[in-house]
Parts: sequence; structure tokens; C-alpha cells
Amino acid sequence: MDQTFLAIVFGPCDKCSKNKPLRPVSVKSEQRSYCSLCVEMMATEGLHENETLASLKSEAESLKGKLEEERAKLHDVELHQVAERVEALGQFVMKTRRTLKGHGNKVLCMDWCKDKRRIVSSSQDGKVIVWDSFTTNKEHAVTMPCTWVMACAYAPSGCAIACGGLDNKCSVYPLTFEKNENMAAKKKSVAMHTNYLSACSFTNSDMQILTASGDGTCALWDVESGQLLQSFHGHGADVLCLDLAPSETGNTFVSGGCDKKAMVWDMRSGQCVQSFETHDSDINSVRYYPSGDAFASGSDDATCRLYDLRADREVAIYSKESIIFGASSVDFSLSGRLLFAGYNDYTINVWDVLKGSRVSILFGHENRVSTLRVSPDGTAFCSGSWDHTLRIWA
Amino acid sequence: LKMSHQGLPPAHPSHPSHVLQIETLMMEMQSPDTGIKTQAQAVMVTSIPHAVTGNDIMQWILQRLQVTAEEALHLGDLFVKYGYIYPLQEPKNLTLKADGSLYRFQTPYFWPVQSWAADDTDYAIYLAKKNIKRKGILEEYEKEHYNMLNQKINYKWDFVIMQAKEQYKAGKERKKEDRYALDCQERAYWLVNRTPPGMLDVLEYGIDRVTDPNENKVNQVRQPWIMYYQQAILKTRVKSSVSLGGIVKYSEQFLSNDPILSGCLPSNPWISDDPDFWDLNAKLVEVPTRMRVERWAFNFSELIRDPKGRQNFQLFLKKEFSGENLGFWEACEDLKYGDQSKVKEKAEEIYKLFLAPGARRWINIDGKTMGITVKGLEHPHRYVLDAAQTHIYMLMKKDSYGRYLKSPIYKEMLAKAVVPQEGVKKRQVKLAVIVGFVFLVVARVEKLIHGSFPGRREHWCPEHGKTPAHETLAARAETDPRFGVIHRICSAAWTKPLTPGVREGDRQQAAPCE
Repeated sequence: MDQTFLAIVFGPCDKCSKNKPLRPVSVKSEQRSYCSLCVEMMATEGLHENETLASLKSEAESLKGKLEEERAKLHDVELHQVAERVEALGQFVMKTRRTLKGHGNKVLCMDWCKDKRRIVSSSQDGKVIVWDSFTTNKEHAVTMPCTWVMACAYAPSGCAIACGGLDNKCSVYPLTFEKNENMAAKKKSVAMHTNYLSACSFTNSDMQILTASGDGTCALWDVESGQLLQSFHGHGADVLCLDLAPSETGNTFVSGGCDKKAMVWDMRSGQCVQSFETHDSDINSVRYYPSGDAFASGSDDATCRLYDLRADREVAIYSKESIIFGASSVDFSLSGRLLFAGYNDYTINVWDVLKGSRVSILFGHENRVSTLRVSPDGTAFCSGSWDHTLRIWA
Repeated sequence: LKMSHQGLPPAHPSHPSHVLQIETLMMEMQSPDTGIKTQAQAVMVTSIPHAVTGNDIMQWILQRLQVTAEEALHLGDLFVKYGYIYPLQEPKNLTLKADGSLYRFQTPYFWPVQSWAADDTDYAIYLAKKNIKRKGILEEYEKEHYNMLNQKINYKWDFVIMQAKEQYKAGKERKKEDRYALDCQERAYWLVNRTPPGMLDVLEYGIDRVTDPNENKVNQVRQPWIMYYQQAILKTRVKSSVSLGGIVKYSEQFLSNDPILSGCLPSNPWISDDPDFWDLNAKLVEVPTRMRVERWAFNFSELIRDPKGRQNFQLFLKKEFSGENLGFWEACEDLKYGDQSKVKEKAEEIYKLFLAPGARRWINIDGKTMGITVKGLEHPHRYVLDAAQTHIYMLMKKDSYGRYLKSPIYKEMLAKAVVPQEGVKKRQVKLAVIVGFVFLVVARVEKLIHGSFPGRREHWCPEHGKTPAHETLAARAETDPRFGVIHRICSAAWTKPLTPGVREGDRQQAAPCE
């Protein structure tokens, strides 16, 4: 996967003199190297002399227009045209194979364990439950000290979970198999935001967590020390979702927010490397295509979209006149051919990613579908809903 | 923090955005040209104007949006739950029935509008009015609300009672059918806005967002964005045909590996309740499946991501005396993602083991990269080995990988890989066993009855065709080389040879078989 990043320079910041990873920045038309904190401080300062809000805004608008022009230059074909030669999908049926009942309130988030059968789920009443969804047995449960636990994640080793919500934190709980396990006692607070936690994900190990928050930022944390390793600023409003790129070579992730933007970040420098603004409302969910060369988004504007990272543009819109309610969460099947999307009208729509058509609609939930993830080996997907249940579909 | 919309300051106008679409559809549904034909319908003894049936609504949605009946019903049901349409016959049950049940369109005044929540004072007036109409008619939850409001807005209570009395008086002066319809309208509105316990609260939308993105903020246009756009414009892009081609190709390549689309062997555990598939594909299973080993040949990423693949690749690299490359790569991953407090010591260890002159597992990287790396190690951070790691990764990918796929090590792995048999549901297996057993028993019994006869139970007599009567003559059948199996009695009567598909016309009439 080719990505053009600015070279990472590590050294003394031109402003604060601390040794940190640096970014090039224009200060009064001159090139400087600032650390990300100083860049952020500069960004939130008032206007400089010779600048008015109007002039800045018009400069930004004209640049944005130029960017769209550049993007359009290389756009020589549509996705559905390239996909014409691809065989159409046959009839396929998916049913609920397991129903997990046990939450006393809205299920807000879930994540799969790498063992392909265990899941962790969190709900509005603060309960976080670990299930063996194959047997539907509950294996662990903990009650958080806050309500609206909107984010939860399973550690790659399968030995811990992370979660958070209205407490503005992300906490890690090790999972043990002791008889009288007291999960709350071993809790470790890792991330601290200034507003609610909306999403979290472990990176390639149990030792690092990436978070997204209502405070408009994303951040990377070291679990052991709780230290902030890198922060990501750029969203103009609450960040609602994130997903890590599947590649071994790129160190990027994508985030979506209430500012209708989907942003791709370089984890090393904290810089935004690509940004897309085509949705008409909040982006509730983002997920990478399995090859890492594209990602899908689901939004309150009732559409899902596909963005091609190499072509640097939106390449498909998945929408129907009969789909009126927002899409809350999306995920791809293993080959990337199908996109599963959960909606606020209690349904799940299955899209043919390449041809752009809707393949199936799944009924079953009795309230909003709030979270949806395909299992690590692609044999099933799990949906969580405000109707207090989770369902496994295959 | 109160999560409900009740009595809170207005929610953000653009949240949620389905409202506009529903309103448009509702207007269309009621339009004289394109909408549903309404008519006065009798509800009990009153004739209510402008009523429609549930089935009408469903059919209209089905035609208009080109969807299945199931979808149309689901969508229509949501319109009722959200209060855009209300039922006349079962007012407390906000569901759409696709039959002759009667409904009416809610007046736009009562449409759910997120920018202003249903008022407590209005609710108090409504409850008071209901109480005046018939004392004791309030439901339990309504009584609770009433008492709570009495306390909360006690200073307005005279006003509330006065308004309730006035509305009640005005209502009495209306025509019976208008009064009935208005009662239903109001009732539906309050069911949606003050949900009874146990009913779905459709207006709940979650938590409020922190920032209104429509506010004009300086830092939205500030330096980072202008800088970002300047750089983004210069970014290298790929032609759509090329990148989209790649996306399509990936999907085609992995289609057979996609269990939801292509199934998986022996079976999908979620469907068959049999976890064999997981056991056969365990992380470091002794013998991997064929599909898994074939996947390692798709691209280098597939190989290195699979622990079993990595293990096999390492064997190969050792043979080529470049095993340290993979070891180095793995150590770099650990540096990046591991415990950050140990970064300094880890970096030092890696240097000693892989990079220092004369190191035990010295990796071969070019001078420039080595220079950057060594300099960077003066201030170690988790990405300090990035340049070297990328170099080694590319070396493995572009050089070793190709040879690996042609090597005996990989080929052997492929040869001894397992191809699981297609399994069936355990229940089906049991059933099959039982059925098979029964068949066996029946066949034995039959043999006893009919004596030994080789071949099939049904005997095909070319003269008489295959008829049940002939089966009982099994014992009297024989095999004639001219005709195959034939009844003795018939073969005796047969004088001329058969032309396939044509019956002899002047054959001697055979005696009928019993």
C-alpha cells in the first residue's frame, strides 16, 4: 500500500524546543518545524494581523475547490462499470443463529475476540459482558461506574477488554478465570478525554489503545503507563468512530465525526493525511475494506459510502429511497464483496459493494441497531441493538 | 445527565435527519393526485372522515418505493410509531396492520419536530382535561405524571385547570365525529411524546453531541486546514480505473474464502453447531487446511499475517540464511506496539542483536538506512526503526517471498494440507443413519418375501412397462439377453426382436400377467 507521508523528523521543536516528532508548518509565510502540540496551539490562537476570518475562510474554500478539481482529473471510470464483468451474487439467506439476552438496557457497542467466538458488549446501564456467543454463555461481567458505555474492545491476546463512555475515560480490565473474579478491582484507567468516549480499539498488541471522543480528538495511549503517545486534532466536532488500517506497512487509521468528515491519520506524526467530506450528516461508523485500499462509512443521512484511498475520492454511494433512517454501523464480509449495515429503523441492509445494489434486508431487531461487526474469520456477523439483545447472523 | 428529550432545551436541528424524508412522504400520501384515497369510515357508530385502511397504507408504500410487502409494512409501522399516522380502532396500539384496520393522518401540528419538544404545561392540560371528562380514567403512569407535574409547575396550576376546562367546553360544542378524531389525534401525540412504560420510546435519540459543527469556529479554517489542503492538492493520486480495478480484483480473489458467500468446509459452525471448522483452522494447528495454505500465495501480507504461515516462511528463510530478517521485523513490531516504558531498552537490545557490527543476527541493510537508524537510536522512540523495518519488509516481500512460493518447503506444506469433507448437521447425520438402517431392514424383509432376485425391486418388463403388479411376479422373472429382465410368461410370447422405442404391431398377443 503506497502512502505518501511527510518524512518523520524527530528533533527540537522550533517553538518549545522539546525533542518530539515534528511537522512542517507555515508561520507568516515561512517554513518551520513544530511539534503537534505547538501546531494545535497555533491553530486555536486568535487571528493574526492581516488575517480576517472572512479571508481565511475564502482561502480555505478556494483550496478545497482546487482539491476537488485535482481529484476529478484522474477519475476515468465508475466502480459499477468496472464491476460489470463480475458475476452477480446468487440468492443467499442469512438468519439469526444465536440471540444473546442478558443486558438490561440498550446495547451500544460490541467487539469480537480473535478466537472467533467470544465477544464483549456494553450497554447504556453501564454493564459490560463477555460472552462465548457459540454457547451463549456469559463468561464475565462488570458494571462500569458510568452509564452509556459507548465503546468497548477486545484485546488481541483475548486476555483483556477495554471500555468507556460518559466517564470520559477508557479503562482496561484484565480477564481472569478465577472462580470469584472481581473484575472491577483490577481495572486500569488508561485514556482521559475531556468529553465522552465514543470508540476505542487496541492496536496490534494489548499495550496500546486508540480512542475517539466527543471532545473532537482521537488519541493513542500506552496501556501500562496511561501515557498519551499521540493526539490527533482536526475534527470540528465530536468524533464518533474509528478503525485501524489492516496493513502491516501503513500505520494509519480512519475516523468519522459529527462534522461530516472522514479523516485518515498517520499514527506516527499525528497528521491528517486524507480527508473526505461528502456526507450530509454525522458519520456514525467507518470500516476499512479488507485490502486496506478503501473504507466504508455509515451516516445519519441514511447512506453508506465507499472511499478509495489511492484514487483519493468517494467511489460509491449505497442508498435507496426506502431507506430513510440513519446507518449506525457498517462492516465488510471477509472478501469485501458484501457490506453489512445496521440502521436506526431496526433493520440490517446487505449491500453488494461492487455493483452498488442492495442484496438483502434483515428484520429481527425491535429497536435501533447500534453496533455491527463481522467475526474475525468471516463466518458470521454480530449485531447489537437498543432492544437489549445481540444477534449472531450466518 | 437526563437522556430523554422531555423538557430539555431543543436538540440540534439536524439530528436526526430522517424527519424531512418522512414528512415529504406523508405529504405525498395525502395528496389528492398521488396519495391514498381516503373516505369516511364507520368506527363503532360514528362515521369518521378521511380514514384509510392499514392495507391501503402498506400498498401505497409498496408501490411508491418499489419494495416488498414486508418492507412496506415495516416502514408504515414506523410511521405509526413516530406519530405521523394514528390508529382509530385500537388507539393505544401504535402498530400498522395490513388489513381493514382504520387509520388517519396526524395533523402536521402534532408531527414530531425535534426542534421543539412536547411541553410539560400542554401535557398537564391534556391530563387535566382527561380527568375532567371522566374522573379516574387516567392510567397509572398518567396519574404519576399528573402528580409530578402538579408539584413541578404548581405555580401555573390555576392556569392549567382553566385551560383544561376551556378546551373541554370547546370540545363539547364540536360535531361528534370531529371530537372523536381530535381525541384520537391528541391521544396518539401524547403516546409518542410521553411514552407509557413498556412501550418503545421512538423519540429517544441517544446523547446530545458536544459541539455544533455549524458554529463558525476560527480553528476550522485555521492553519492546519489550509496547510492540509495545500498538501492534499499535491498528493499523488492513482487513476480510478487502476485503483478500482484493484478493489474488484481483491474481492474476486477472496470470494472462495468468504464463508458467508461461499460456505466453508466442513461446515459453518454457526449453522451446523459443529465447531470443527475452528479446530481445523486453529492458530498453530499441526496441519493447516489447503485453502489456508493457498491463501499464503495471494500476497505477502496474507503469509505474514498468519502465524502458521510465518512459521513456515521462517523455516524457509533459515534455509536461505536470512532468518534474521523476519526476526528483526518481529522485534520492530514489538517495539512499536509493546510496552512504551521499555522502548529504550528494547531498541538497544535490537541494535545489539541485529544492527551492531558483528551482531549475532546481523541484518543486511544499505548504508544510508543504517546511518539514519543509528542516528535515530540516539533518541529512541517507538518508530525509530521504521526505515530499517520497511527496508527489510520490502526485501522479504520482493525477494524471498517469490522464492518461498516455489520452494519445496511451501510445496510440501501445500501437499500435506487437509481438505475437510463437507459435513452435515449432526442431527441430519443421525437421521441419515436411522433411515439407512430402516432401509436395510426393509430390504432384508423384502428379500425374504420375494425370494432372491438380483437387481432392482421394480422389474421393467418391456412388454408391459413398469407396473406394480409385476413386482409381485418378481420370482417369475428372468433375464433374457434380448430384452433384459422380462417376465417368463412375456418372454415366451415374444417372437420378434424389439426396435428401441417402437412397439411391434403384429406381435403375438401375450397372455396378460396376473
